[in-house]
Amino acid sequence: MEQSYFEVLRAGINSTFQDKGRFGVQYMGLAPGGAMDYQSFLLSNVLLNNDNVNYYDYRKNFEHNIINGMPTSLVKQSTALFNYIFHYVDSSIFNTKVFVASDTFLKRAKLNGIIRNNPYNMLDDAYIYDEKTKIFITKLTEKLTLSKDQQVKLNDIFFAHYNMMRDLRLQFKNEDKEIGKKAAKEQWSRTEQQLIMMLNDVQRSKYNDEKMKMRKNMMNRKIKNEKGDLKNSNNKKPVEVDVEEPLDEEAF
Amino acid sequence: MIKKITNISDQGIICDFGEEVNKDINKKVISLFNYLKEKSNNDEIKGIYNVIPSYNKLVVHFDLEKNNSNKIKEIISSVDLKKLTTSQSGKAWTIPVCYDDEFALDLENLTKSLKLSKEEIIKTHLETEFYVYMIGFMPGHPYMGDLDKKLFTSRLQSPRVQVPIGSVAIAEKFCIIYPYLSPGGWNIIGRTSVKLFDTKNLTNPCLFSPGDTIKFKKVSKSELK
Repeated sequence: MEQSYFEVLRAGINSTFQDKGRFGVQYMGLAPGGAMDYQSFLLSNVLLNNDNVNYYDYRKNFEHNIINGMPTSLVKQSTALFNYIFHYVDSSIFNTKVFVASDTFLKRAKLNGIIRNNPYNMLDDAYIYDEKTKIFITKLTEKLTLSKDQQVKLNDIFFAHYNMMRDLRLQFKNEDKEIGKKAAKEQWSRTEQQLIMMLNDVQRSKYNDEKMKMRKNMMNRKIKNEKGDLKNSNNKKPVEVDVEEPLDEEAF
Repeated sequence: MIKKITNISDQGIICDFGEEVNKDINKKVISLFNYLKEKSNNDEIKGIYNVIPSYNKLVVHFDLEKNNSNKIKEIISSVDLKKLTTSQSGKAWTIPVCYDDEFALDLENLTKSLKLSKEEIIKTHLETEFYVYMIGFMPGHPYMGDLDKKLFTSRLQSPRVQVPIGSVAIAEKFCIIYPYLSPGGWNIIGRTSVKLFDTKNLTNPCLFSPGDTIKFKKVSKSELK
């Protein structure tokens, strides 16, 4: 057995364990393998807050990597629900990035049915808006810490957007692409609005949290001062602290 | 020459060189394979991530974000195959084979079906210069031709569940070597100790390339390392 390996502890229906495949070496008899559904592969990585994987570059560079002794294996855990242990022994031979999803994410992903037919190549513009959405979400999650509810809401926005774009791609596969582009743009506007509202919500809740924290500190200080007053009979007013207003979306 | 180029998926096309299996056609396939691979590696053609040659077909996979089937088809159609050379190929190999009964599991049966003696089968096999048409089925697994007509035979009626590593086998007009323990239905006539796919060799793990030529050399069991 190889030094590094995965051990599946609990598997279920639709359990799949996929890596990114080995492309460009099929002429040597090596089967490419890889993700069964590239679109959901990318989507799940976005869901899991992983790096925005450039699939093409990976495929292009795979041969280069094995030649230089640096096999890169990016592993995706699919929407299936199962646990596993990763036995990570030698990082030099198995430079693997493991994507682990929480149950909540996986359940949501499954409920929203991200395993669908590959809608690849149908409406280029739709991908641009998909990318925009991903970038927005990535920046949002990088800058702010989301609560569970907020994460779920964000996923809903993304899934809704993704599903709409998928439908558009299918709908305008053979029809007038100009109409498709317009529809994609309109959908992106709606998604963008939702994301901005989401951003404001997150900032507002962060602002409220900070305000509450400040008030609590002030109250503590006041109590402390009052106690001190009793001892020293020294009347000191607590310091007023202003909390900054939330940033607008342009900050992103 | 290419008979037709058709889409096999939204991200793949197949260049069809006809149904015939011969060296001349295969050399054209390999020439085009090397050309596309080189152009792709130099980024002169964008988006190609997999090129797979076979006897008389060439499959090209590409990324739709970088290229599309029409452009790839145009590029391929514009290539003058006569001017291409089969670079990176043409190496000549001598492979040691032990034809002892212990390894030649089907030699006895072949003597009956081909109506030739063991010595005649071995001699014919040794005299043939094989040409590697393609690598496939398993990592490093070569499909070599062309066998002398005297040795043309069909595959086993019931394939073996496990064929030992290094088994040299024949069927129809081809000869193969099993690089790994695997199921197989070809007629085994000997065994070699040569490692066909070396996972530790990071620069070139596959010993043979399409276009190489191979001669077999008879060795005894003790010489078979």
